[in-house]
Amino acid sequence: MMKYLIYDGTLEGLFTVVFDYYGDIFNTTIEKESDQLDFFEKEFINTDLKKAQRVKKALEDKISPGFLKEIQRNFRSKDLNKENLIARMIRLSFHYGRNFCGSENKYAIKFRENLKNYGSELHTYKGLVRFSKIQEDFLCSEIAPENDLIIELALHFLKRMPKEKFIIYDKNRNKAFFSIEGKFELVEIINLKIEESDEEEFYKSLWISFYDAISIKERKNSKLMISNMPKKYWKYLPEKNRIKIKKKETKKKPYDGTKELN
Amino acid sequence: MNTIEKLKILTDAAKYDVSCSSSGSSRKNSKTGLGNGAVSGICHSWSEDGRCISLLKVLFTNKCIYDCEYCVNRRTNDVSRAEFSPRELADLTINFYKRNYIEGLFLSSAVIKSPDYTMELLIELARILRYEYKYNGYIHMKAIPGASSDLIEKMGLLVDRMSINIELADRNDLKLLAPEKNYNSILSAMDDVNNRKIQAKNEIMVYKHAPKFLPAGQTTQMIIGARKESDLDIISKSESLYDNYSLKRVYYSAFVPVVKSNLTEMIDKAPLLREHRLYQADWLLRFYGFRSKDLLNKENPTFDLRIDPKTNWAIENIEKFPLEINKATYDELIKVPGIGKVYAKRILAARKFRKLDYSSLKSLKISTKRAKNFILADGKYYGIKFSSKSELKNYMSLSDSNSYEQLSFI
Repeated sequence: MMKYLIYDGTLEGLFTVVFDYYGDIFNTTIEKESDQLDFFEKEFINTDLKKAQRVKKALEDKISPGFLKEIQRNFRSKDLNKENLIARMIRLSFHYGRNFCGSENKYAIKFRENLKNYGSELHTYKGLVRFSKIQEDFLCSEIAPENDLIIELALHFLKRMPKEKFIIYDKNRNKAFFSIEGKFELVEIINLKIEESDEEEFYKSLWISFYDAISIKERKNSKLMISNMPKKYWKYLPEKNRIKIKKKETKKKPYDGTKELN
Repeated sequence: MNTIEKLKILTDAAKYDVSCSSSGSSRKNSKTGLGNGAVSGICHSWSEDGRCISLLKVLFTNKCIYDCEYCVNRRTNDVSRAEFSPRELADLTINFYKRNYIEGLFLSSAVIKSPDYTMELLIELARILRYEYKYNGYIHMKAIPGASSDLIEKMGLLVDRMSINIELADRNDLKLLAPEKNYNSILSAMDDVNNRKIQAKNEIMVYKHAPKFLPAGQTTQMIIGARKESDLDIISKSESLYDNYSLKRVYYSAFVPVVKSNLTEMIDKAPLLREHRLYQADWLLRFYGFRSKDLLNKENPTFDLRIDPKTNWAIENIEKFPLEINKATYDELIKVPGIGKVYAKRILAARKFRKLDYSSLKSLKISTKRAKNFILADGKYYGIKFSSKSELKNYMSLSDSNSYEQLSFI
C-alpha cells in the first residue's frame, strides 16, 4: 500500500525520510509540508540531522561526491515531483552503483533532464543577469528563474565582484542575495524599492547603441536570435525591453559624463 | 564627438569580425579585483542577426594608414572616423562589465601613424584595466601586423587571447589585396607568440607565480571567397597553423563585398554556406581526430555544399560502417554522422549499465534520423537501403537543415 509522507521542505528532511523508509521507498509518496492541513492518512517525518548526515556521507563515500551535488541540484530544480525522484534514485544508485545514473532507466533519464534544465538556466542567467546602479551604490538585478538557482548564481558574481555591493533579487521566490564587499546573506524580501542612479540611463543607452551597431543588417535573423535568447528572459534586458529612451533636446549639447581626448 | 557616437562608429567598423568567444581563460580574480575568466565562455546577449554577444567588440580607431582592398576602413574609403582614448574605453569596459552586459573586451584597431604607435595605445589600455582597475576579466586583443616583437610580448603578458590575422590562405593573394601587409612577418609573429607561450608554461613549472602569457592562446582569421583559393587550400592552411603554432582557433569570414574594388568586383554575395562548411571541417580537425587529407584531396578539392564534411567522409568510407553502438569506441562513435560528443558520451554511459538496442536510443533522447544509416543496434540495421554512394549522399542532404535552408534562398 502506498504510504504518504510529509517532510519539512529541507534536503535534510528528505534525507531523513530516505533513512527511515529506505527499504520501502518504492511504496511511498513524499510531499513537502504545505499550508493546507490535510494530515489525513499522512505521516509527518521529523527532520533528524544525524540521520540526514549519515545518508549524505554514504552518498559521498559509496557512490560519489558528484552524485551528492547532482542530488542538491535536483532538489533545487523546478520538478514538482523531485522528492520522489531523488528518493528512488538514491535507492537505485546504492543498489546498482554510480553507472545507474547514466542508464536508460526512466528515473535516471528524468534525473539527468532536471540537471540539464537547471544547468542551462544557470548558465543562461550568468550571461543575462543585468545589474543597474541604485541608491547607496548597490548594483542590483532582478531575476525570475524557474529553478531555485540564486545561490549558485550569486556565488558566481561574488567571485567576480568581491569588492562591490550587489543584490540579486529572485522575484519568483521573494528572496534576495545581498553582498557587501564580500560579506553576504540570503534574505526574504516582500518588496524591494529601487531607485536607479542618474548614470544608469547613460550606460543603458550606450549599451543599446552597441547592441544595435554590432548586428550585421544583411544577415538579420530574428528567429535565430529568439531561439538563442527566448522571450521569457527579455523583461530585464535593457536592449530587449526598451522603455522610451528620452530624446534629449538637440539645442544644448548633453554632457555625457566623460572627457574628450581631442 | 561624444562617447555614444564613437561607440556607434567603432562598433559598426568591428562588426564583421567573426570572433566573439570568451572561452579558454581560467584567469582568477584577486581578493580586491574585478572579474575573472569563465573557461567555457558566457554569452551575454544575441544580436538581431542571431550571433552571440559575449565581448565588447570594438575598434580602438578606424583611422587607418593602410589601403587594403577588402577592408571598409581602408584610407581611401569615405566613412566617418573616430578614435577612443585608452582611458575612455577602459572606463566603458569596466562599467559594462559591472552591469554584466559583457564578459570582457575584444579590441582590434586600424593602424594610426605606425604599427608600433598603435600597439602602444592598446597596451596602455590593457595596462589601465589590469593595474589601475585590477580587472581580471577577459581581454582579447588583435596584434597589429608589423608591430615589433617586444610590444607583442608586452601585450601578451596583459591579455588573455591574442590574434594575428593571416587574412588570406594564399600569400600571393595577400600581396595583391593588402600590399602593405607582409605574409612572412605575420607568420613570424605567430611563431614568436607560440614560443613565448611555451616559455611561459615552462616558467610556471619552475616559479609558481611566473606571469601568465595569453592563457587563452592565439587565434587568427581568414577571409573566404575573396579570391580563388579552394577549400582544400584553406583547410590545409588551417591544419598547418594548428600544427606549427598551436593556434586555438582559425576563424573564417565569408567575404562581404562592402567596398568597391577591381580585384573583387566579380563577387556579389558572401558565400555563407561555404563558410559554414569550413567551420564544420575545422571542428573535425580540432576535436574529432580528422586530418585535412581525410576530408579533401587534389581530385576533390571542394566541399559538397549539400552535406556536411563528416557525412561526406563517412559515405566515401562507407566500408567502415555500420558500427555496432555497443562495441564502437568513443573515437569511432564521434565519427558517425549525427552523433557528436554529447551523444557518444551518453551512449558510453548507458551501455555500461546495460546492452543497448534501437529503442534505447530513443529513450536516451538520441536522434537517429541521420545516424541510422551508419550504425547497428544490437546487431540490427535500421537505416535505408541504398545502392550507391551518391544515392546515400542525396538522401542525407535532405535531412541537412543548413543545406535545405540556405540553398532554398539562392
